[in-house]
Amino acid sequence: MEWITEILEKYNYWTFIIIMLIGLYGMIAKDNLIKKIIGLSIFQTAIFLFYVSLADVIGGTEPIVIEGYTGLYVNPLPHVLILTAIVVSVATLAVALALIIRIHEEYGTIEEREVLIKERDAAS
Amino acid sequence: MIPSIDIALLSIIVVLAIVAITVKDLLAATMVLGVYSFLMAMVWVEMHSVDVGFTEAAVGAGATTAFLIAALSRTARHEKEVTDKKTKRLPAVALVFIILLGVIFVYIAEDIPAFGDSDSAPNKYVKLFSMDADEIENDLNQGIVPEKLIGSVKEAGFQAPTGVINLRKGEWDAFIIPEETTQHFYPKEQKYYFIKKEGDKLDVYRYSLIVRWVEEGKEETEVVNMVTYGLADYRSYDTLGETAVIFTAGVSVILLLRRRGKL
Amino acid sequence: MSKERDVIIETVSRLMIPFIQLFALYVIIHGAGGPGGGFQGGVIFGSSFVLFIIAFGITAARKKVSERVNTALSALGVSIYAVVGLLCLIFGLGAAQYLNYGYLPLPVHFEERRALGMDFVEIGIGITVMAIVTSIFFDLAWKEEEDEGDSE
Repeated sequence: MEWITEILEKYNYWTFIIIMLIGLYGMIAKDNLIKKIIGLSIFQTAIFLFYVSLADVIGGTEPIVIEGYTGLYVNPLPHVLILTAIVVSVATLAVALALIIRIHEEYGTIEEREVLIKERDAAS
Repeated sequence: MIPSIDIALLSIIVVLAIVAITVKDLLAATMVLGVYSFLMAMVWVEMHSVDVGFTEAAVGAGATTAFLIAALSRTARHEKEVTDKKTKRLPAVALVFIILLGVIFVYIAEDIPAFGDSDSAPNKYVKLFSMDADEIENDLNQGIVPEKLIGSVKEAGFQAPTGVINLRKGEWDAFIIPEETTQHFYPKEQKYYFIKKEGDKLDVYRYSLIVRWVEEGKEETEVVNMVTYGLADYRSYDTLGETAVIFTAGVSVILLLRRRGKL
Repeated sequence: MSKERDVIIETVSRLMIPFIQLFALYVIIHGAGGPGGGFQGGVIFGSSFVLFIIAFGITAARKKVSERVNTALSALGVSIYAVVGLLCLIFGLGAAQYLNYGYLPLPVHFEERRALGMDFVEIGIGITVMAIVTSIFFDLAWKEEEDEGDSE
C-alpha cells in the first residue's frame, strides 16, 4: 500500500506533469499559431504550479510577518521567482501576438503550414 | 492547504486545459484559458501564496485574455481543418513525444519532496553527511566548535563554522560570523549548519537560504510582506531587469505594429 | 469596436473606471503591508484603460490617452527604478551599493530607508506596467480601417 500514499501525497506533482504535457502537446500538434500560444500559456502555468507547490508547507501561513507568531510560514522565495515569471510570460505573450498579427497582415493566414507553403511559392 | 479543495480545483483545471487545446473556436479557447487562469489563481491563494494568486488573477485572467481577444479581432477566429498529410501526422508524433517525456517525469518523481513537507530541501535544509558523535558532543554542548567537525565540513567543501548554540537536547545550530563588519552589513552571526544526534551518529545539515530570509527580513527592511522585500530589495537587480523586459516587450510591440506614419 | 454606442456599457464603465484606478493605487501603495505591489497595481491600472477602450471605442480613447505621454510614461517608470539605484550608489560613497536603498538620502534610519526605497521602486514598476499594458492593448486592437476619418 506504500505506492498509494506515494501517489496521493504528490498529487500536485502529478497535476503539474499532466498540465505541462497538455501544453506541450498543444505547442507541437496544433497548426494554428494562436493555439500554439495558448499551449505555451498552459505550459508556463504548469511550471508555476510546480514551484508554488514546492513552497507550500502543512500548517504554514501566508508569508506576511505577524508580530508574536512563532509557527511556520510558507516559503516566499518561489513566490518571488514566479511573480517575476508571470509578468515576463505576459510580456512574451504580447510580443508573440504582435508577431502573429504581422504574419496575418503579410500572409493572410495564421496556420503555420499555409504560411510555409506561401513562403515556398514566393521563393520559387 | 486543504487537499480535497485542491484536488477538486486541479481536476477542473486539467479538464479546462484539455478543452482550451482541443476546441476549434479560438474565442472560446481564449475564454476557457481565462477561466483556467482564474481557477489557477484560486489554487495559489489556497496554497497560501497570496501575491502570486493576485498577480495571476490580474495578469493571467485579465491582461492575457484582453490581449488574446484584441489579437483575435485582427486575425482569424476559427482554426482551420488540417488537410495535408504531413500536418495530419503531427498529433500522433506529439502524443508519442509527450508520453515519453511523461514517463521520464514519473521516473524522477521519487526525488520530489512530498507536498507540504516543511523539512524538505527548498523549505528548510539539506543533509550534508553524518559523523561519529563519541567525543565531540560535549564540546558542542559547551559551545566550542570541535576540530573534527571543522575538518569534515571543510572536506565536504563548505565554509567552516565559528560558533555553536545548543537548541535543545541533541540538536545544535552552527553559525558563521561574517568577516565584513561594515556598519550596515549585519555582522551578527548567521546560522549555517544544523546538527542533530541520531543514535550514536551526528547528522549535519546545511540550512537553506530561505531560513535567514524568513527570520531576519522584517528586522532588516521594516517591511512585513516577505514577497515584497524579496522582490524589491533582496532581488532588486532581478526586478530591475524584469521591468526592463516589460519595457522592451512594449517597445517591440510598438515597432512591430505601429506603422501609421505618426507617433 | 463598432460605431454604435451602448448607453449601458458606457455608463457602467464611467462609474467603474475611477474605482478601478483607486483600487490600483491602493494596491501599489500597500505592497509592503499586504499582498500586492507594483506589478499587480500597474496591471489593474492598465486594465482600467483597456475597459475604456472597449467601452468607448479606440478613436475616442486615443484622444483621452495620448500616445506620446503613454510612451514617455513607460520609459519614466524604468528610469525611476534605475535612478533610485543610482542615488544609492552615489550617496553610499565607498560602499558601492547599487540598489541598496539604505543609502538613500532620507532623514530616517537605515532600515526605514530600505522600506521607503522599496515604495519608490514599486511606484516606478507600476508606472511602467500601466503604460505598457495600455500601449500594447492599443497596438493590438488597432485596425487600419479605423485610421481613416481620424482627424488628428
